[in-house]
Amino acid sequence: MTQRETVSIGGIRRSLEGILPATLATCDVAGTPNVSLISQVHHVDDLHVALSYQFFNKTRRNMLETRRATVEVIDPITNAQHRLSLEFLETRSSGAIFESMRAKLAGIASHSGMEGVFRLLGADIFRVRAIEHVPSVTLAEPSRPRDLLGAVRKTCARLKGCGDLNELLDATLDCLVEQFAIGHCMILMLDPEADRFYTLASRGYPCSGTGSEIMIGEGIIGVAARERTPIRINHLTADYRYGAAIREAVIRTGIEWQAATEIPFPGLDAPSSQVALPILAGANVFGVLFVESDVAMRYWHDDEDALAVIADVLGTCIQSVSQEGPETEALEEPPPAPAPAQPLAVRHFGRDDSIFLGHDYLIKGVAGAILWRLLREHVATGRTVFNTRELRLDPSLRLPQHAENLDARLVLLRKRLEERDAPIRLEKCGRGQLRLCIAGSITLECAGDGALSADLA
Amino acid sequence: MPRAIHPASPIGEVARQRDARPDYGPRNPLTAELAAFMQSGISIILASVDDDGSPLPGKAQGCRVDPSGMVRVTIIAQSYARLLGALSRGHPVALTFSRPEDHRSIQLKSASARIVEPEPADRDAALVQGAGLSDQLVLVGYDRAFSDAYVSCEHGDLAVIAFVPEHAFVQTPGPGAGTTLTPT
Repeated sequence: MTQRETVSIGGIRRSLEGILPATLATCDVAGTPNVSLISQVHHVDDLHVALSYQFFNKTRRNMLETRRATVEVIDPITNAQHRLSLEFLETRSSGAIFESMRAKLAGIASHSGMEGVFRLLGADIFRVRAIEHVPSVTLAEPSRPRDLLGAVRKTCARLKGCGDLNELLDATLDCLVEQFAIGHCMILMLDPEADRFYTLASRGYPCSGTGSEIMIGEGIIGVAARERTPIRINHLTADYRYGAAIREAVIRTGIEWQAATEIPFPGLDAPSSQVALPILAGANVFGVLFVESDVAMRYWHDDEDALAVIADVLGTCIQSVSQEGPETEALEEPPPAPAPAQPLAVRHFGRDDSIFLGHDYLIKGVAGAILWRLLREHVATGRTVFNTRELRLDPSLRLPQHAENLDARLVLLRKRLEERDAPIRLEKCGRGQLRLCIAGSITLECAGDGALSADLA
Repeated sequence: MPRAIHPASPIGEVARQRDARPDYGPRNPLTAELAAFMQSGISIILASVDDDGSPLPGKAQGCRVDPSGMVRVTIIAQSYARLLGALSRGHPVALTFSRPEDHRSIQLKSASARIVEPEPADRDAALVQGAGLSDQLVLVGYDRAFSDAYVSCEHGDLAVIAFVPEHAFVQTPGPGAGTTLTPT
């Protein structure tokens, strides 16, 4: 006999991964049943699920008429089966649940050869009234359970010991690699004014891609930030690929310019599994923690849980290290690096605050504006030590109010200078203090808003 | 959801049925081609309704279509006691047959069904259907151990649901899904 159990679907989330289709039964008011396979039963919380509304069909008509449905779901590892009695509550066509289902459905559609057929019109939300176990032939649980909780604990302990944003970014990504065996991951900062994300740090790619940009509407990264919810897909889908929007922007802004100032986004060419998690610093979206794999079904509900805790702790730590404290004395200046024979021409283009060192593109946007301001003052006055407070208060830099935003841009700038092996360095020299270190001499050229000069193209 | 290597379309199903002849009399929407499809090692799900209006879903193990056009579907009695009870009290039945390889799907409905004793041929049909479905599941990416567990009949006693289909519908995903199939 089937056994009626306490209502909580927390224990059967693996059956809601969308790997095996579920059986959905409904009836019309006259009692005529209808049965269909459905691709997605989405876990909303332990008392609610959402079904994807893709077509207006008999199933949907029945559900709206009677507000009842029963769905049978299958564990894709053990073949354990459960029957959920559902009561229809409402349909949502926007918001976190809808976007999460839409991304997942795009992956399922692509994987099942149904692109263009599966399109999410709404997320139908149901209360789970009862759960019954359905007897079936079951397989044993995998013999090597992963210790996600232990990995989370170690990662959180390490993050709490970090003193600044750069350390936090490195520690987070190192822990994802070491504790979670995640091969490809990155942290991106959101620049809401520029409608784009900048890559701050990454692991597992041939090039770090620090400073590379993606547009806010691209892939699951933008959706996770906009909806402030983790987005996870487990199959390759063209709907959420990266690079398309930036290529469209190229057409608007000029191909030569884009080619000269593009840092390639480091993401995988054909990722099969991806998770994007918003990093909230207080009430603000700081950026996104992003992991990916070329293996399908790499990240499950419990991986998402673990990564969500890491993203939360990271956000809290970012806010904590970015609090302004009393400035300390600047530390002693290190010996200067050997000077290059020729003076270095630093060029600034006002159209997007991009900076070129000689012919090489370095950075653009607010990070570019910060460097240009420091260099101009240095050339004018010989000053080398600056404090972050004056940058924060400088209206010409148009910095948002949040402290962590300036820190992220300084990290980006520092890393780009290091990666380019530039004769200009920006070093921390005490709390709230920065030292501009320049090996040799520089000349500044303000290229204005004009067209790209021939020698840079 | 499994990967369809060459997805089927609802329009193709309607066209195929429009050109077919009824093989089991004027009131039975089945054709010999549909009957063969139903027994070709594919997924079978079904539903009825309880006295209180609850929809009751289920998964079937196998299917036979006898020469008169009667459909005999086998299910595991222990897994679907409520469903069998509802059918034995005269509630209607709906069944969807679906091929993982291309998502070709049809739904059959009947106002009533009978629960009958399984014959050896019903068990044989369930084993053939299960073996075929397991092969299909492996073809679209599931591992063999899981696929065999999914189609197994070893966890209970077989019961047989017998009915004559009254209506058939296209259930293949896409525009035209839900269209009634009527051979002419």
